[in-house]
Amino acid sequence: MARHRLIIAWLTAGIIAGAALTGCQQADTATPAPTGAGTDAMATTAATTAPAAVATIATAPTTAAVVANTISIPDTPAPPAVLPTTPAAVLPAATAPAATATQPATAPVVRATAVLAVTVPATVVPATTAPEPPTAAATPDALPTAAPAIAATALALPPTATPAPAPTATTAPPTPAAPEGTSVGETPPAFAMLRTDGSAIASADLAAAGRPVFMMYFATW
Amino acid sequence: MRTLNPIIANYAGQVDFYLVSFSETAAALDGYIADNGYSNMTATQPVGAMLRDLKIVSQSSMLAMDANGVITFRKGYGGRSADFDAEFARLVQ
Repeated sequence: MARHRLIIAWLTAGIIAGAALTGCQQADTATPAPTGAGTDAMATTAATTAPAAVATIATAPTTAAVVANTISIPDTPAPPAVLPTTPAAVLPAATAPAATATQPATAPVVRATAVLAVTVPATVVPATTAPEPPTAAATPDALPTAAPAIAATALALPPTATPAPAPTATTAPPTPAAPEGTSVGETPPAFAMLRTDGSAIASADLAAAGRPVFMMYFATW
Repeated sequence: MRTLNPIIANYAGQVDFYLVSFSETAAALDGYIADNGYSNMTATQPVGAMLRDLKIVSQSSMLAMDANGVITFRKGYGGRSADFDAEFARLVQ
């Protein structure tokens, strides 16, 4: 127990001594903080939250305030204040050039094959989603670049559809049938004959036989 | 017929030869073929309007068709004599 008391007393003495030193340093840093925040445009929003922490430090020189000060020295509000501003300002600018850089590169490739034309609409979707971030500065640059990209893909689709009918034209033309008639080079109209046994011979039967036919119309008298 | 008979015999099995009666029955032609000793020909008689449809207006008219059923030779009665050997040779090509 006595040993514990010695340790606690030693720790409290050290804390008080440290608090005295840091209290002097905070008094020095408290005054330049507003001026430094005023120079940085991106930290203007952080300045609204930072003085609250600084004010507590300045008005409470007690040990509890010093402990609070040591905790707040890492300055946790400041990084969040910077982070929301930088992604908001940087992300749209970063995504918009990415969309403009990819879309012109993919759009000419689409004209070559139809398979890529199917994949292009998937890449167009980020371009249309790029204007969704409500930041004012980045959207005017993203919108004009996304619209030509979509127009380029729309123009690229019809050329892919036109080569399709070409293979159908390569089919072999059917052999033209001879016109019906009674002259040389023509197919005679359908006819039929009777044998002596009463069986019929149709012109279709002669054609199905696939052999030449010679007919002589004869009279015995 | 005397001229044609040896040619028909030469192309037997390659060209089907039909003797079609102009104004008689097929049986009458068949007797005529037998009486004259002709062979390799089939005696028939027309059915319906065959003569009119094929524009056969006289006896001894001839009409030849190739294996595709297209008319390759046609000759009426009289006129210039035909080279039957050449016509049959063309039919079997």
